Amino acid sequence: MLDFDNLVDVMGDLDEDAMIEILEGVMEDGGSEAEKAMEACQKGMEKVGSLFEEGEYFVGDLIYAGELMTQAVEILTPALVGSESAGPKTKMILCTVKDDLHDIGKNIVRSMLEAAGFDVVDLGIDVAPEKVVEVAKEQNIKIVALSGVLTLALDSMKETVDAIRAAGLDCKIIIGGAPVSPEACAAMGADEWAHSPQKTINVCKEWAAEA
Amino acid sequence: MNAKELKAERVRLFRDAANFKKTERIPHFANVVTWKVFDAGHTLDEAMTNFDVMEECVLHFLDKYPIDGILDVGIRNQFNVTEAFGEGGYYYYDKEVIGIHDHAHCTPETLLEYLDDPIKYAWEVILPKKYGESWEKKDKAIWKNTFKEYMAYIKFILHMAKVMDRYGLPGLSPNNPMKGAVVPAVEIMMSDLLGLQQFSVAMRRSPELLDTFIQRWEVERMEPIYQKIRDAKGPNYKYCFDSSILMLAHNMMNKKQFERFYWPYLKKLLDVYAENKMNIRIFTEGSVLRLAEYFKDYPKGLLTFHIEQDDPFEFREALPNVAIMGGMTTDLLSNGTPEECVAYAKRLCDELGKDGGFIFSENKMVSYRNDARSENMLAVNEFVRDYRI
Repeated sequence: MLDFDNLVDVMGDLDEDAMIEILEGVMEDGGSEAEKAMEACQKGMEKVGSLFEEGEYFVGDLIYAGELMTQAVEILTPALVGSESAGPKTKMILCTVKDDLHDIGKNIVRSMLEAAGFDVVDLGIDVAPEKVVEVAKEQNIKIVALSGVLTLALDSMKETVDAIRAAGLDCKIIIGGAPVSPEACAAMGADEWAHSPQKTINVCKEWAAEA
Repeated sequence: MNAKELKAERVRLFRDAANFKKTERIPHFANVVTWKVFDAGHTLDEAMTNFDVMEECVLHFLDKYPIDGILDVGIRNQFNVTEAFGEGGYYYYDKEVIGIHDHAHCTPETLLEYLDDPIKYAWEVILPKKYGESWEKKDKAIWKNTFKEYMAYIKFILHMAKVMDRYGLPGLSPNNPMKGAVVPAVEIMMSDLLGLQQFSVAMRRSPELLDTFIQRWEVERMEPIYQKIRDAKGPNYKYCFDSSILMLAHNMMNKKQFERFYWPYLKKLLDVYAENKMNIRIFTEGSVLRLAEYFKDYPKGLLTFHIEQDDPFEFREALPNVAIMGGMTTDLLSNGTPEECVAYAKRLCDELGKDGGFIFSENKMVSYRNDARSENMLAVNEFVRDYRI
């Protein structure tokens, strides 16, 4: 009998060995309960997010949590791919905006978004507004998350927001990273802003539920 | 007052402020790097590879904003040397941006190999990895040209040191007590050897390997530094501080990790400076306030924190024994009006500097065009220079 509550705790505690042992146990029968295991991992990541908010975990722990989640997905993927009941995921764009190369924060957010069930189209770093518009159009994306660390990124975020609006795309846009603020968000016409990955995830979840 | 006297006066001003002595005015240390290039009407690609343009930018800044000290006089990130050798994909720059890609030179398993012989490791592992196939093709002409550019760079550094003397600007701290800066083991592991990602994972996955590296670093690199500090027998009054260190790696660490990998060794370093009545400036990126408890028992005069994301007023409340450098936010310098900037600068000086313990500076390295508006920089510089508490 698989103990999924334990898997939640193990993920939350960032116990890599125990996580692998449980997931390999899940895959022993071909992964009939892989979806439940994935849900438990996602709940574990929520616990990681809460512990970060409480100050128990710090940035390095989020990076490590991302590594563990990637491993979990790799182990469970063979079973999840074949699952008929796996529902459609909300697809969204994530990128670091033009002229900014920082990717640590973006990658943490990507791991947590994926753990929360999003299908993240990660466009990488130093991404031009036209590229965001092009992909959003092509893939009919409704949520865009723009990341940046430099003050210069605020200009690029504004250009990206303007380009999305000018293209007439019906997208919700969240901006994140050190230089963003409520004022910057309002000035550039984005829908939300965040300094923490947890807020980004919560906002995107709300938007996905509304869609 | 001639330049020499001005420099001595500024050293005294910085040291008194750091030592919580009330000063006749608050010193202004410009935490300004490449922003001065834009302010002088140039772009990065013009200035970063041309010493004449860079000097013009520095002089423009020093003439326009008469500050008491400055972080950089145009000698950081000089690309002529690396470009002469053949750029290895580690950075790029254009008119507005310098970007440096995060690369890992070691794995946790090869950390000790680096420590055994850093030069051999650089030659056999780091450089071939960085330059790939072109490493084998570095011929005599390339080496010769690189050396030529390197010598030109050294000449520029020496020239700019004279410029600082001409303007009566003191050095922040000596590079000694060892050749080079004092670097705690975790900082070199994170910034130079493993990179952010690998360092974060290694703290969880292979902590014993990090412990071993730290122990050896302490014995082989830090113990001689401690001895040099003891031998110095007191402060070096040629400089504003006896030492400067960077604190970056704490940004990756939770408290348990900080207590295991960082604090015991940082404490040892701080204790040696305290025993010898010297002072130390700690430049922090991110927030350090969550770690305030570790620094609260040190005497006034030992520590000056150059803070970045922490609120300076909260910082003073949490650590009344620690002098503050910084405070002026680039948010305000870039988005506020001159009046708003001056009002905030006045609050900083009044509340943090009335009994000493405050050095006015920008909270972030002012680098990009949008980090500050010229009229705001001008207004706060003029205010701080003229203001008397």
